[in-house]
Amino acid sequence: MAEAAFVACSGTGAGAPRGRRREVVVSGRRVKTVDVHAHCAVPEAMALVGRQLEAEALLKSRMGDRLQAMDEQGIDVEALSINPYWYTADRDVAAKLIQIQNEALAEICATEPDRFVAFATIALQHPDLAVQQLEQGVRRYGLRGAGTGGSVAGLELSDPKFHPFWAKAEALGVLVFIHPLGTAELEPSGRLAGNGLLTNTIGNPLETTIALSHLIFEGTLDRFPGLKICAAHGGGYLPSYAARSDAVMTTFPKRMTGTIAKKPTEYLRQLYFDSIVFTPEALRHLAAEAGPGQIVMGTDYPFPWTHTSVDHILNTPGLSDADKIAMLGGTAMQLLKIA
Amino acid sequence: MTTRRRFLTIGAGAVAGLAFVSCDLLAAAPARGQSPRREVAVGGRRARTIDVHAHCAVPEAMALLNLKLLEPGSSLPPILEAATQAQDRLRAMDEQGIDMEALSINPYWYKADRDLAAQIIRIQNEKLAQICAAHPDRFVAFASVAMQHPDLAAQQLEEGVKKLGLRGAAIGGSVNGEEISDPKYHPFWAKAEQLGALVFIHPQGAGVAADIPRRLKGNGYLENVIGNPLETTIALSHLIFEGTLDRFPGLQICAAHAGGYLPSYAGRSDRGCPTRPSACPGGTYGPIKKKPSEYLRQMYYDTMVFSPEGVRHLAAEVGASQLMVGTDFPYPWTTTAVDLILETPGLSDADKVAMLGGTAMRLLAIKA
Repeated sequence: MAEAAFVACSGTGAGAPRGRRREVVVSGRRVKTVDVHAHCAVPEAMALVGRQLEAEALLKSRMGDRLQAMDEQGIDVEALSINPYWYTADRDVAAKLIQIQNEALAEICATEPDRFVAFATIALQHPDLAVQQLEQGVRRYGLRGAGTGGSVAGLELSDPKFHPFWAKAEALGVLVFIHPLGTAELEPSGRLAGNGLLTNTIGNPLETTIALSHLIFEGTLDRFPGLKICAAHGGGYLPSYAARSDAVMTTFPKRMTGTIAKKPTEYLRQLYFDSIVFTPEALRHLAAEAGPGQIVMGTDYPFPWTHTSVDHILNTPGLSDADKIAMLGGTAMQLLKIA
Repeated sequence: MTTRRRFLTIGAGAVAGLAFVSCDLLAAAPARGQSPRREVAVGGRRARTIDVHAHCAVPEAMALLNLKLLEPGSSLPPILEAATQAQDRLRAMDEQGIDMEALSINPYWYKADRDLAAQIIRIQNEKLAQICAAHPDRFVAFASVAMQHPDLAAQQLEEGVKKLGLRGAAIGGSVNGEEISDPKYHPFWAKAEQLGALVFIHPQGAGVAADIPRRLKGNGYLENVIGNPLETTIALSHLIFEGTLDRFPGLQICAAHAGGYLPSYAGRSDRGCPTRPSACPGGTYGPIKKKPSEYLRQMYYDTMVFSPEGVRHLAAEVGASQLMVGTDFPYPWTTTAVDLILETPGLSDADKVAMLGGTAMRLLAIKA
């Protein structure tokens, strides 16, 4: 379990003793920190479709390890999400799976209400069902939004088929967290094969880039202007390489088959992005392109991409204290209705 | 002048208000008014400007594959033909403040058999040499090479540089679906390293975008907007992770469109292997020698990221010394490549002079 190496020494379960909790302070004031990109898993739901567990550290039974890691890293609250693996399940299986999962998420949050909130899982392949699941998740289970993939069984999130879901998310005013699942369509070509984990390091930001580009260019964000969307991994490549999307409109006007209300880069300033770009320079750039108010902290727990998300924000040049407080937790508290 | 008018219909809406295809092309016939040449200065001193990303085409070579520059429905602008349209090209350069272009031809011949490829490349490189000879203070050129026949490509590069005075080679971001890190291309890389010649990598339209057509369809021309930087990102990632840059440490590579996404989103490449070591068994020669992002600081990139913040970030990631002006001429992505550099915050005058032309002069052996 190489992915979970960093929790190895910290005990095995909820009963293990925990180290000291890091309390994050900005300009003399305690700041509540929120991690919007934290994975977990519910094996009872996975069993319904024969899904294998990717890492033990995803489990509820390892909650002690999770809290310890949060304490060490200075994370006060995690917003839990589950990467979709159920997008090909039929309606009945999907309904059952999601119910088990969302109930389990609600249970975890209820056990440690000051440490966890969660995004509802939804069966987006059945959009009308997804609408119900989101509404039920928010109203009955107290979940704070929904998690989606960067595509749904080969369909783009901008596909009109999913409009009922976006309409409901907009109506409820809840955050939708988009997390890529690699770019499956590219893998058969072999272009991401070989050394370097390119299926992830390229496949993941690519999937998000494609997803957001379609939401922009196909007019989904015009149709649902109140949507609150947070895209994982700094929004993939799009915000860090933004201007080409504007330039194409004047370079190849004949290739613009639809009309959108704003310049593509302007939409980036209404989307939210997690801070998983690793370096202060990259975060500085992301903040310059999207606005510091659009960035929320992410860790990708339990996968050890980073253990220093808090320091990353604290060490990024050019951010005001207010910017840092917003990125560390202020913006996420507002979006996720955390008191 | 129907051909010119057709280019205008392609370009006019695109460039409303932009200079280079405005009224000048309409007036392109015999006696044009000579617009003044923009002379770029930095810190009060004239700075030579060199555009390393300038397309052209040689119709005589295209004809060997039954391709025509001007066939109906073609999206290729006639001005690509540098030989017959040199005056219009020079006028655009004058207006934009580009002293010299380093001409390149996007590969379309990678499926040609050996004999045909040899013929195409010979015609093309000789024509490129002629254009440069006709305007030695305005044009240099990258040799075209038949990468699908790597030993031939090595010969073509050597001949292009030694016999024809070309300054490097232009290649695609992939060759018929194969990565340019594939060991079969090592003879080409070895020759480029030995000659100290710059290799300009430009993504193939028929490259990765063609592997995921469904994901890139719809509004926004994502086949290009995403497909192009993606192809370059994949190409450079393999050159790094497969060990090509370790094996040929003296290689001088310039990647188009600012190297695609890779330099602007560099951190993830460093973190992938520590996060999942099992996915990083090593390249062709075992583990790579440096952090992936360190290799980014030994390659070169054009400046085609369109915004001062984009260039500032790029310079912070790879070093100002690794950046060179690119325009993508004649496609009207930008007509302000010089101003982009002049307006980028945080660059010293020396940085600006280097990016505008100094670095390209050194890499392309252009005399002061």
